[in-house]
Amino acid sequence: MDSDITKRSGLIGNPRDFIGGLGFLLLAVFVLWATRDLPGQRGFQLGAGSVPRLFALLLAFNAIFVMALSAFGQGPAVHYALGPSLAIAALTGIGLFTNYFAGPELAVAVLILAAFASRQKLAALSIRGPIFIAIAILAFAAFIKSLGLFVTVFALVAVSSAASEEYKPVESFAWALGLAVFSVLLFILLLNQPISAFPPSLLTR
Amino acid sequence: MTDIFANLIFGLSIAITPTNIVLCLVGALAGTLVGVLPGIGPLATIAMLLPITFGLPPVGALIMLSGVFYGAMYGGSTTAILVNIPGEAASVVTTLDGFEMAKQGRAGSALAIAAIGSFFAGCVATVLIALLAGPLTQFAFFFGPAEYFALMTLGLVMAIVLANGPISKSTLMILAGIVFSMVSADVDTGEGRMTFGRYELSDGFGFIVVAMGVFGFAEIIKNVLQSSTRQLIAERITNLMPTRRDFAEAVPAIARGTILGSLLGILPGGGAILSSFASYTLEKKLSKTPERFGKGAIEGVAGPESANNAAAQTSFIPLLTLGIPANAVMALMVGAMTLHGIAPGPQVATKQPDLFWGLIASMWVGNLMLLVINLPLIGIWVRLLRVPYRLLYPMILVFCCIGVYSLNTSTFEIMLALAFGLFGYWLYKHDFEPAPLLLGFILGPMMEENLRKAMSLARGDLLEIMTRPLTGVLLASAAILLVVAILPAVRKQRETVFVE
Repeated sequence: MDSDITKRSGLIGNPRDFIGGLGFLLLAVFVLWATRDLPGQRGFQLGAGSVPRLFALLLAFNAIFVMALSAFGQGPAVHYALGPSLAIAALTGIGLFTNYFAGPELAVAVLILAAFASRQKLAALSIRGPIFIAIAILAFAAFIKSLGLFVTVFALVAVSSAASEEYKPVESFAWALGLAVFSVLLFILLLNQPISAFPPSLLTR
Repeated sequence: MTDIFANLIFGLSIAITPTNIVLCLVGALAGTLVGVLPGIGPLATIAMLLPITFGLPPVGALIMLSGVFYGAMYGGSTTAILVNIPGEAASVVTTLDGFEMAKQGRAGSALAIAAIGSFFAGCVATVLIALLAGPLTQFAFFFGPAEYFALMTLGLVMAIVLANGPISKSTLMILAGIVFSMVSADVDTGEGRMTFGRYELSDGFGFIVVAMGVFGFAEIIKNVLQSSTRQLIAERITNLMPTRRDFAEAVPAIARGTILGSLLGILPGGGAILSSFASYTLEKKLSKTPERFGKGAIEGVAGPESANNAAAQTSFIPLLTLGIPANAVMALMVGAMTLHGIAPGPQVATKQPDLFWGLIASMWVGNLMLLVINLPLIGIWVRLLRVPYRLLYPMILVFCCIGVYSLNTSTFEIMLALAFGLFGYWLYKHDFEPAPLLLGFILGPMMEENLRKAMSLARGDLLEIMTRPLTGVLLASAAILLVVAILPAVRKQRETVFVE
């Protein structure tokens, strides 16, 4: 989906704005499509679809305007390379596939393993940061209900730490342990949040 | 006049109950703590700490949240001066002269002047809020749905004109925010709009989800790629007291910054960021020795710091009197008030005077607290800055995730927030400034509701809506403003203010 921004001269003077505008044009078209069945104005009453369509149209015109301006403007290129896109597509595929057959916890576990195994490769494609952060957040979503806060925070910290180029495994595990204890103390004991500290299935047995 | 002081004293009696003082203190401290961390502005800070206020009564919760807001602003200036990293956008200009002063060994003076200036500005702004709140609230009762719609349109246009960056792109952000806000069940019929049958979406995207994604997660993704080596100036800060000469130079700048900031803060779309830039430009223009700016001129710290604090506070005025947020931080406060069951608007002052005046008085208390506690604590904030980013961001992620999850114990919302985070990162890659998006997101449903009410009342006659005197004036001003802003001459002027 990204990455390096380089100067480029071509048909479009400012590709960064051009693609940005294009993104919003697509969003506007999507909204117009998604609201196609909603009723519009009936008599003098505005319907459920009127206002969303009005703003989607404004958004579309504005996006086209930005794209038109960018053709004459000057700006950096945004490079959408094949390598990172394929890597993201592959990881998404693995995630969706395992999720379908084995549930979210295992799917995230597989993703974590895949990401750690291809750490150097991801760094070379310069998508290491976003990938590890995204998987760490997915891990939080997948683990919190079934595994409890302690394990979840540990996973969130341990996985997200690998996003940094300055990653130090031992330090990050210690930090993950510390933060897991800290969050149980703060959010469950002190702030009484309705979250289980440990896997609920273990506690009920 | 006596009324106002009676009201302020009534407010103080609420703000200085032991519980509320503690809440204000905790808010200010937590806000500073998070605000000091690089890359986390007031928006993300408030969003992160909002869940902590859930168990509190509304008055206490709002007092704490505004404490968080000032604390975050204050923390931002501290890092701007000490490490040349603006903790939030409003302190970008503080880095210019503040960091230079620190390099010359005058970090103490810079920090002290920033704190004193902010405190003075805060005091003036508090009185101004008290003065204006009454009359404006009365005025607001003349507003019908059509007028509200027109006022919000004007507000959004001003936000576009005053935003940092090209007008066409900030308009795009606002419109996108409005479009995102349309995902929900329809207010009148309950029909799902763009919900794709998911019941989680029938209440729409939560504003915390959007704010945390675009301002929390996206910031981390963006910053994790950058190196964390920081140049830390002034190992130990001694001599916090500014010299007599510092004072002589800073006092007029503080006064001017306060006036400028108070005025710009009230404007929709104005607020802290714009006023700090404007104040710096003003100080440089007025100075007899403009060449000192950028080389450690104390006016370059005193003016903008006072201006941004004054503006941060007066931007509460449109929110408290009309119920309309003037900028993204205030939009977040609307969300916070709604979560606590308060509908922002003119009725708050009359129906919940304790909340209204308590909040106003607590602003003053909060500012005093920041002055008293934070100068001695600077050593701690400095030490915090030495913690490498690779340890900080996982901790921020923990707070963000638990914050989102504790809203509705929904894992779906965490994934949504992640989606908004990736979207925010995409915005950054394409050089879009996301703050107007949040403003559009909060104002969107309000605008729709008022427009639909107005249309029903006018029996579908758009002309009748537009020609109501007040509505007409407001809509015409919006149109004129937009046209003027696009004029080449004004556009150039506008760009120079931000380029400085």
